[in-house]
Amino acid sequence: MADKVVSRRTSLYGDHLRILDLAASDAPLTESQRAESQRLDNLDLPRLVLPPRKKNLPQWLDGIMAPRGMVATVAVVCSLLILVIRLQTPQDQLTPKGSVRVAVFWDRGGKVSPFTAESQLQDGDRIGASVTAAEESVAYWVVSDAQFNIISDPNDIHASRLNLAPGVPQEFAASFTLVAPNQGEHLIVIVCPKGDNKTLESGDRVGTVFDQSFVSKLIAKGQLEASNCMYAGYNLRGMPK
Amino acid sequence: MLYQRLGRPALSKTLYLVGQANVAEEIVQESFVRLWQKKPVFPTLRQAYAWIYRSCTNAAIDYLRNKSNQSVEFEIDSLASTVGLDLEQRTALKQTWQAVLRSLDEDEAELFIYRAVEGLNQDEVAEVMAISRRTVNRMQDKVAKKIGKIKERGHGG
Repeated sequence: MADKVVSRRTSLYGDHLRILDLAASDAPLTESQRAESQRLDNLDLPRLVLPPRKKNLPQWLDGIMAPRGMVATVAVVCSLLILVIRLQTPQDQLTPKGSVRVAVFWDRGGKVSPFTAESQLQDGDRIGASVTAAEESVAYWVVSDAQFNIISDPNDIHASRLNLAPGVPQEFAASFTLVAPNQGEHLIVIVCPKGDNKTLESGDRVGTVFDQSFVSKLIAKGQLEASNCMYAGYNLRGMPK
Repeated sequence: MLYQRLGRPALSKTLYLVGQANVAEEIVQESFVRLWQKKPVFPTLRQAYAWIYRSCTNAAIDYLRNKSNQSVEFEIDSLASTVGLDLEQRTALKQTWQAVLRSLDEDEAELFIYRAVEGLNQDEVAEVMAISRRTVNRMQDKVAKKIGKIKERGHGG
């Protein structure tokens, strides 16, 4: 009877922590914990069914990349305006060089559309991009606010690194979703001719403002020349007035 | 894999609440899918379980809120006998359950489930809900007052 009283004082959560060995205790399992442990052993755990990785650009680009859609897509992509980011100070000038094509897409409720100057993006829209470079290059993408303060998680910036073969369009592996509040987000794609294959370590800090220093740090470990990089910026949505 | 390690306890916990295996399985699946999509970083496995535990609780509350009075009472009856609440608690739950869930906001309903149904102590509630013990205390007082009013209305009507 005393055991039963003790058992009732432990919660189901506490019992689970003990059973999972997540609670610091050397005491033997109580009666209720032993019973719950036995119950867990007998529970039939169905296989976990994960949905398709919607965040992966290649999958949500499937439709648009299908043969029929490809012709229209290429036509739209070719007409996309590549905006050159105006950096914050005169010494932060980076000169777009080489032949690089960037296509930006957005997905709302499963409908994928190319990003144009007329696109009206809102919270919940997912953004993705693909890049084609004339020569072997690496590409990164970064999201900043209206003042070019970096919003992207540093790890995501490092993870975005894309190795580009000449003339072959490649999509960034992940998309991102616009969330409130509206920060006048910019998508910035940086493409640099490939040097050494060294990659930036994920623990390295690259700065918090998109400027010359940011780009230099981002590509430094790849032994790439910042002055050879091309960058394209897209103002995804304007700040509310 | 996290699901293999934490899936059964999450399923067990949810099954206690909703009483139907297929519903519990669906809730657990959705919780792990959400975890997989959000990719939160947990310094410890215990924190990961707290997250799953909470996610399943909230989904179960949503499910129970949408059920008819009759079926909920049946499930609460079996739940109470399984968890080991005494007769008085069980009776109180049966009389007030539906009204309680509808009268409390999400956090309060969650706290009510942890404290009154699953018997978590205040520290455990604070851990699972990621709030301070002081906040748990404050919420608990608020919930107790609301339940008192519901009971008064019940006796009066």
